[in-house]
Amino acid sequence: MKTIMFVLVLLLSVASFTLATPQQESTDKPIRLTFYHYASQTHLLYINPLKEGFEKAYPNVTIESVEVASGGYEALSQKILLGLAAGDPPDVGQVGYTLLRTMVESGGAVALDDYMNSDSKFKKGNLFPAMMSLGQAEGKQFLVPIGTSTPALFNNMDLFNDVGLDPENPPKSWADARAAAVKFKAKDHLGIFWGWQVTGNWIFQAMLENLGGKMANEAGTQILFNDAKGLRVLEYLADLTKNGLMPVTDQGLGTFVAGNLGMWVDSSFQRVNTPKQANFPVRMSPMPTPDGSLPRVPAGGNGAMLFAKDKAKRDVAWNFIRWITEEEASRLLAANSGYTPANQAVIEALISQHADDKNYKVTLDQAARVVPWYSWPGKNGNKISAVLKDMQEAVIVGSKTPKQAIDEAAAEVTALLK
Amino acid sequence: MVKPFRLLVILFLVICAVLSFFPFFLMLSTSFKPVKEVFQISTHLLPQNPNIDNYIRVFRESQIVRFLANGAIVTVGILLGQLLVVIPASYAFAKLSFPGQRVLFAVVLAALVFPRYIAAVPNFLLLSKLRLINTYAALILPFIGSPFGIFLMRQYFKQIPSEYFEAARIDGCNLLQMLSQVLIPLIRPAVGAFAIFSIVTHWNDFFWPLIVVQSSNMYTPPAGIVYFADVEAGTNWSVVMAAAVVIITPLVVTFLLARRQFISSLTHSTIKG
Amino acid sequence: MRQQPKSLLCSNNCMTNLSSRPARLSRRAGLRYLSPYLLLFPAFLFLGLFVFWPVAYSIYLSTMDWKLGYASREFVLLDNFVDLLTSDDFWNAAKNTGIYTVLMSSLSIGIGLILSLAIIGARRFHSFWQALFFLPVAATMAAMAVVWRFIFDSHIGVLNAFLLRIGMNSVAWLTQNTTAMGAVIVVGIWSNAGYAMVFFIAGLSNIPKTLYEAAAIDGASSPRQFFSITWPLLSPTTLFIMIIMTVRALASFDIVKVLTDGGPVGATQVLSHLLYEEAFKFFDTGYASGIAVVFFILVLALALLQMRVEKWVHYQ
Repeated sequence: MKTIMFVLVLLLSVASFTLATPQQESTDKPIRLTFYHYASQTHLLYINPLKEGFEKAYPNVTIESVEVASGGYEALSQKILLGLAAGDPPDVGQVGYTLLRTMVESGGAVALDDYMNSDSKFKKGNLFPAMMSLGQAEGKQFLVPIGTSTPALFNNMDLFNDVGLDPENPPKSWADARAAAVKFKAKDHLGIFWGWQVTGNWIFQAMLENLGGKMANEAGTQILFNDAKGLRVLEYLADLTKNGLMPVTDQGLGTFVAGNLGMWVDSSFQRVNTPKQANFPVRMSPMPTPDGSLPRVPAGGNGAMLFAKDKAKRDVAWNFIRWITEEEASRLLAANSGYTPANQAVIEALISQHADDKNYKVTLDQAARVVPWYSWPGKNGNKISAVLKDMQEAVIVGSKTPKQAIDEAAAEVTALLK
Repeated sequence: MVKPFRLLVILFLVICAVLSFFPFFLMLSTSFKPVKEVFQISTHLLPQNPNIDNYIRVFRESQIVRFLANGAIVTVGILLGQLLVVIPASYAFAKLSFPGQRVLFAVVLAALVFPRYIAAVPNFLLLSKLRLINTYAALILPFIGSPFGIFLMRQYFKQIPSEYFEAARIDGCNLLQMLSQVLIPLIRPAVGAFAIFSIVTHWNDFFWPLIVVQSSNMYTPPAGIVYFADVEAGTNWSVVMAAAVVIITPLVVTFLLARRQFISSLTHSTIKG
Repeated sequence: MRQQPKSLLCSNNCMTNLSSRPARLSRRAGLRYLSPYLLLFPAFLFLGLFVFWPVAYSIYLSTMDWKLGYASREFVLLDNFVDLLTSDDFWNAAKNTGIYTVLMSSLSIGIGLILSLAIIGARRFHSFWQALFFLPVAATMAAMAVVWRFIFDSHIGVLNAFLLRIGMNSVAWLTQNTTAMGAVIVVGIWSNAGYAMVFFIAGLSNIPKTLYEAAAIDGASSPRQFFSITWPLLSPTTLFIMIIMTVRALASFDIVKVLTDGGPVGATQVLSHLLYEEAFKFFDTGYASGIAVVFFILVLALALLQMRVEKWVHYQ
């Protein structure tokens, strides 16, 4: 046993000396930008090409990554906030849209307007105003979109055929969706699943806004979601679950690819992976709206924010942020992920390039109809999201009536907004 | 022992074993399934087209070998540090009497129960000041003072009759000799149990590395699992399960080896014989 | 039979006559009074840096209204505590934590004990049985919780598929309050019983066989042997396990996070998960520190209470 211990200690010491030393700052010729980003496999597929592309365009800059392995956008923001707390923030950070407000209120984010106005290489006109608005807070631009996703309806074409519905013509209105679900149920299938659990109450907001409702007023001092329209959304969902037309679950993807669910509303980011996991052809279409018109869609996804403290670093970091909006980066993003870039010209090029890909077309078309994801002001934004999620869950599970749930949620959110 | 009773015992063990192993069976089965079969678990428990593609993907597309190596370095480092620090302390608590003993031990208990997630932020700030973020030191140092270890060893020491220590002292062994030549062999079973739990806990620790690791080559084994889990894009569960199998296997092997090394066989008498 | 420890001997052969030496207290020079503290010093150094300082810092933070990384912070003294002690969420979590801890620890300990006795009774294949029941402990909880999530799923889960096959109705395990808590407890027991088992086996292996042999000669029945010999001599281990298991039950939240995320609507919300959410999802570090302080006081009181039981523990 003693020899084992000795060998282990020896190995340990050798290993820690050879492997432990982090990169030393050598010369000051090449400028290093620290970039905090997400590092799961799907995200690295588009981030690595972006990094390489930028370093090629700006050879004197190296991007040093701080990679967050998991935990979603919260973990990413947490890393950035930890950096701020320690006085050592990143130069550029990837931030999910829902967390924009949180990052801005930390006081560590740098507004980009001055750079946008003074840099002639920045072509604001190229970018979808709707997408740029995703990165605005307090009247200034803090975040520039990297990749955006929107809600869409995924349809199981085999099941459509099985119940006598036309898979090339999925339901467009809430009433049609309900009727289709009834047909599915008659043949022992699950009808439709609205992805209520997707972060930030995305789907609830989408349904509400397509009814003409709003989450709250502009200033965020008065909630508006608890009116008749909000109630109608909850009643619609309650009706579906109570009558067995919508499964009571939070596993949208799993239930859909298992093959017994006819329709599934979720993020367009799933466009690439879902067909790979399903044994049946999948057709995407815009999500159903109350009256059957094309939906306005809240945007999910992430963008880049500037946190650098040093002026010189900021200038270089701005180059990276601006580069992301340009054509080359946008093409790389679209080619390597299920996201849509913010660059209008690129999107139009993609639409003509992939004219046969009906699913891709849905995603690309929706880029023009993006609306901001409502971001709650004040310190309790994430908590408010959690309250709203619980509200939907209570209705779906059936433990509260829609009226009860919405009134209680309204009271809680009002208290949290103070 | 009466025969039927022993059969009953074995039957009981078998039922518990099946319940205990079932999730692993699912995990293994899923790891050999191609992606399209994964969600057919309710209809097909076993893979219909088993293959090892998922394992190939794990090794080829993630840095899992590096994560495993990091895991080994970190867990061994932590264990050695813990043993060095914990054994003397628990001996003192168990066998010596000195003023403030009860208070100090209560303090150790307090350290045991403190919710460790809250300690994450202050620890990060401290390590950041020491410029140790993203190093093995950051992964190892915070865990060396193990209240669990002190507690465990103290319990164990208390069961060893004081005569052993007195006799050794009489013979003129100084403290160091006593510790290394008398103590350690006596507490081998406890060291064995502690080693197993320390290694398992820190091998599977997911949370702390997320806080202090910044580059992907410093991540520990659990990171290999979540690398393939992506909530937004739709996780490929069969690959995730394959990664999980790869990560759990070394622990099981370690457990089996450690058992033989440290825990005496149940048919021989031990120190109290 | 007495067995000499097969250890290396001191240079002056101090181990030769262990059995024949009478026990005698010896005195040594003044250094003896210092040595306990020297022995404690390294441990307390690390504990101080990485546990006690965070505790102090958290207490300080709990009096602040501060979000992680924010440039400004406000001193609010006890407001955080008032907020949390008057919030339904906190008390709901406290109640659930109590239920979960009591049920999970007691059942895990009970099952662990029974398993350890059974394994010893089975006489063969000890390594195999121990490894099998230890697997859930060794497995990365994050991955296993996902497997359990899919076992319990209402529509695509194996459990409901099995129930349907044998003609029963499927159950919405994770979307009903009581069954959700039940599921969390079951997974908790599954992953902890083996932990208790390992320690009980180590403890049982320390009980001299001669005692059982003597008792058998005296005509004591198996249950009598258990209560007179096994249980008392196992008590140090049992006390240890009780405390450790309670701490584990209170600290773990990965099961809740992956299986139910505190749902449905807070039915499985436990204090550790609440704490995690406040600190790392909402970044409300000041408030979360307040929860940590309250939680800490409660658990510490519980642990100290359990240590009182040490009076009844039989040490040799």
